[in-house]
Amino acid sequence: MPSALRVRALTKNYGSTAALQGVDLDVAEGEVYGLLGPNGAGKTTVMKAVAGLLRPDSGTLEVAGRPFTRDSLRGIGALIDGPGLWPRMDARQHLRAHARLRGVDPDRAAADLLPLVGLDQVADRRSSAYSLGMRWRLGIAIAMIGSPRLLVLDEPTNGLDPIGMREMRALLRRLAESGATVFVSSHQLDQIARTCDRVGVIVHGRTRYEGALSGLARDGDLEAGFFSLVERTSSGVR
Amino acid sequence: MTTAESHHAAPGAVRDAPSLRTVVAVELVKLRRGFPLWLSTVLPPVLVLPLGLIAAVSPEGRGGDVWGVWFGVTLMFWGIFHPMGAALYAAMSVRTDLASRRLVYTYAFPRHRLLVGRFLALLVLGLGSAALLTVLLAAAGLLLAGPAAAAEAPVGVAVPWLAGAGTLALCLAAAERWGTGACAAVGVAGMMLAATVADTAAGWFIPMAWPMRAVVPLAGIHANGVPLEPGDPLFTLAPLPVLAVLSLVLSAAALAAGARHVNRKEL
Repeated sequence: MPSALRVRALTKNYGSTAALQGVDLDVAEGEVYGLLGPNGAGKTTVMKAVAGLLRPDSGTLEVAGRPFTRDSLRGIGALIDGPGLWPRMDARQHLRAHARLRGVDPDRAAADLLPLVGLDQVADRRSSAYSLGMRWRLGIAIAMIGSPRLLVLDEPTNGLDPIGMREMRALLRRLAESGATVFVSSHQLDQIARTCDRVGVIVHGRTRYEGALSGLARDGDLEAGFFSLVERTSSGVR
Repeated sequence: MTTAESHHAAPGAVRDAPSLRTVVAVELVKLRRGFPLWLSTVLPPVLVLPLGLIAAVSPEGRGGDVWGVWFGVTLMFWGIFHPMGAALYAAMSVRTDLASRRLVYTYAFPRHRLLVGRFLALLVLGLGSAALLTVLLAAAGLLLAGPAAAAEAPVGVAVPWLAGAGTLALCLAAAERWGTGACAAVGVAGMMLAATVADTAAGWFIPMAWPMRAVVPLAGIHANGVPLEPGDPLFTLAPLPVLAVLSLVLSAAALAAGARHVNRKEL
């Protein structure tokens, strides 16, 4: 399957703190790929690098088989560290404003994306009145403007209630079915297990596993396999 | 929710190359719903109406020169408050975007376009405020002293606004680089300096004092509000074009520094 995203030997330091020490990932086109890891593992740093929000110290990024440049961002929709909304503006105004900035027809963007994320009935309500789940869905709709081939979503189920999580999982699957590649990070194993085709696990800024979710399980127990991997890595045992 | 069939029918539809006009239009849509618009519309009547009452009961006002006092003190506050207004504009607009820049900074176009667009949008908002103040002052001048007095208002309001453009750019750059606290500090310091040194040689070295420096010959008053003596060299209008040019040069320099920062900033 063609590659949507290829990450090789990515490193990033913040002063004396090594956030990434060599991350390798391969995300295939059209899949939902989950990036797993404990808090502080470096998931958001990887996501930010792919979204153009920070410059890695070394390593390479390829998007759709081409070296990453600022132009690569035209094919990427990203949502990092929350939905990033303007509190006084409603969903329709958000979509129209972002669509204008991205050079996409504002009316069509609003008409297409509001139903997609289930906000068409509340499109004229201020975003400050939305629940967290609705805000995330609006954020994803904004990231979807212009039909990007690669969606980068950092912890989109954080803070959601069970209903919100279920809606989010369904939305991610629908996005993948529509042809997008979804690259999603989470530290919630069960959410990833229910949504993703393949996963990568990073611990202490290094890739420790990449492949099918079933390969991570230990004696059929996914959680046990994940914890075992994290503990082995943390204690220095490879 | 509905399905997403065909949503990826047009890959690469994103151009990510908005014109400056588009960025300004988007900024104005955002500003329509926040403190900057409120400040722009409330400030002119808040300046004009109470100062009119004060002018009417002042000794000069009771002596028959209500318009002269009213015009002078209104322009004085317009000039002195300008740095604080610029700081509030900049701080509030940057603060509103703290969360959303995680989205817009992932777009392919250069980030400095957003900064320049925001500056121009805030400048337009300030111009709107200046226009409102002009209308109020011109109406008062027409009623109290005739058409010639009303004709003084547009220049008296617009030139300080133009002389304050550099301060606005400076405040925006400060808000982006050091945060809204630093920006507010520039505004407060600017207001105090405008009231104390605008009519001295030192005022030329302090951009925040330039709007008040423009007011001095136009209103015929010192920075502290005391009327100029007849024949005072501060009556000369020669500094006005210099202030306008200096303001535009400072705007360009501050925006260039701000652009360098936002283009390199990591979130």
